[in-house]
Amino acid sequence: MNIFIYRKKILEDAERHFTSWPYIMPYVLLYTMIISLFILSVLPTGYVSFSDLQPSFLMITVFYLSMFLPATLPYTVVFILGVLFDLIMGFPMAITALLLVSVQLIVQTQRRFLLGQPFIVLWLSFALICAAGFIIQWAVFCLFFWKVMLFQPILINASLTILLFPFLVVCFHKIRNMIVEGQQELMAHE
Amino acid sequence: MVSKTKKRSSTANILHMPLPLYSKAIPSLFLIIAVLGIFLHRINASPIEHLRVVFTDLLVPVFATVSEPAKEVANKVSSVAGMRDLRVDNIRLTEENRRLQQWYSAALRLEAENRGLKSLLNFKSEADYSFISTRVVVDTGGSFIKSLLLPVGTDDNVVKGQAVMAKEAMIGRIVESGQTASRVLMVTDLNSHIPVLIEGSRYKGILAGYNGDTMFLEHLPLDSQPELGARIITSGDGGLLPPNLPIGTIVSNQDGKIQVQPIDNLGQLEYVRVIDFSIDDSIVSGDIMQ
Repeated sequence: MNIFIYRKKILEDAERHFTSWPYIMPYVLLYTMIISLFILSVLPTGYVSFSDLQPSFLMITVFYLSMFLPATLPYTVVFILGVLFDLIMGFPMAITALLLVSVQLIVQTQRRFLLGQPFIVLWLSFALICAAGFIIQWAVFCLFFWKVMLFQPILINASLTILLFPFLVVCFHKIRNMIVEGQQELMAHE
Repeated sequence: MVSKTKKRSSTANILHMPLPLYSKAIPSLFLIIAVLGIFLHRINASPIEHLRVVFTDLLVPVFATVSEPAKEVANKVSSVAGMRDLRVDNIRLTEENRRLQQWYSAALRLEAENRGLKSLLNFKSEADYSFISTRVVVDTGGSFIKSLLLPVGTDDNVVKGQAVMAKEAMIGRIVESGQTASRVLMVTDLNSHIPVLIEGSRYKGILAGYNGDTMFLEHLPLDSQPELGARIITSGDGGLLPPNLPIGTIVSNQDGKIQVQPIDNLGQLEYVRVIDFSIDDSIVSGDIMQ
C-alpha cells in the first residue's frame, strides 16, 4: 500500500472518531504509559532503593508496539525518544536512538513470523534481541570511551529487562484489546 | 454483506498492518544519522554538550515536578516500613546521642585550642566556601554513565568544576552547567579522576572510578603503606576542588589494587550540596596553558 494512502487512512480514521471516547481513551492510556515508562527510566533510583538497576523499559515498549501496534509508534518517534533519553542521561549522542531503531527494524522484518507464535517464542525472541542490544551498546560505549567497561551490570540489567517483559506485555495487551474493542464498537454503530 | 465485512476488517487492520515496505529507508536513514551522531560526539564533544545543556535546562523543571509525587510515595512507604524499627532506632539514637555529646565537648575544646594556636602563629586561613542545597531530579546510575541532574545552574552560581557533597562526603563534581540545571559526574564514574590524599599519612594519589560501587586509588608513592579503614580526602591539587573533603574509606588492598568505598550511599541520593569554591576560570575552561 502506498504510504500516503496508508497515512491518510489512519488520519481519516482518527479524525472521524476523534470525539468518540471509546476510540480516544485507549490511545490516551497507551501514550500515558509510554511517557510514564520513559520518566521511570530516568527518575532517581534512590526513591525506590533500586541502586544501579536500570531495566530498559523503552526496549520492551518498542518491541511490543512494533510487533502488535506498529502504526502507533513510527520510527521518527522512536528516534526522538532515543535522542531525548541520551540527552537526559548524558550518553553519547544517539546511542540509545541507534539501539531502539535497530530493535524496531528487526521486529518489523520478523513480524510476520513472530505474530502467530506462542508467547514463550515471543519472549525468547525478545530475550535474544535484548541481550544482543545490551551487548552492542556495551561495545559501543567501550569504543567511545576507549576503556573496557564492567560487564556484570549489563548482564543484570539485561536479565531484569527480560524478566519484566511479561508484566509490561500484560499491560500493553490490555490496552491493545481496548483499542480493538473500541474500533469494533464504533464500526458496529456505523 | 461481503463488502461490509471487508470494510470492517480493512479498517480494523490499519493499526496492526506492518509499516509500508518503502519505510525501510526511514530506519536506515535514522541509523546512519545515529552513527554519525556518535562519531561527531567522539570527534568534537562541545557542540553536543552545548545541545545537552540546552535540553537539560528545558527538561529538568519537568522532571523536578514529576519526581515530586514519586518522592512522596517513596517517603510514605519508607515511613510505614520504619514504624516497626522504632524501638531499635530509639535505643541506637540514644546511644549515638551520648557519644556525640562527648564529641561535641571535645570539639569545642579543640576549636578553642586551634583558634589560640592560629593566632599565635599568625596563620592565614583559606577562604571559607559557601554551598547551596538542592534535590536530585534525574539519576542516571546504571551500567554506562554515573551522573545526576540537579535543578540549579548558573542562575544559582553553580558552575562547571564545583564539588558536590551528599550527607558527609563528596559524591561528584559539576561537569555541565546550564542556566537552570546542571549535571554531576559521580566519583564512581569511569571518567572520574580526583586528586586525593590519605588522611593522616598525607600520601597523594588519584581516585579513579570504574562504574562500579567502589573506586580505585592509583598513582600512590611506591613507599606508601595504605591501611584499611583510612579515609580518603581531596588534596585540592590543581585548584579545582577544595581540599580536605572526605570521599571514601579504604576497604581492600590486594595485589596493589586499593579499593575505596564511598562514605555516602550513592544509590540513594535525594538531596545534595554544591560547594561554591572560588575556582580559577582558566583551569575549568582548560586554557591555563595559553
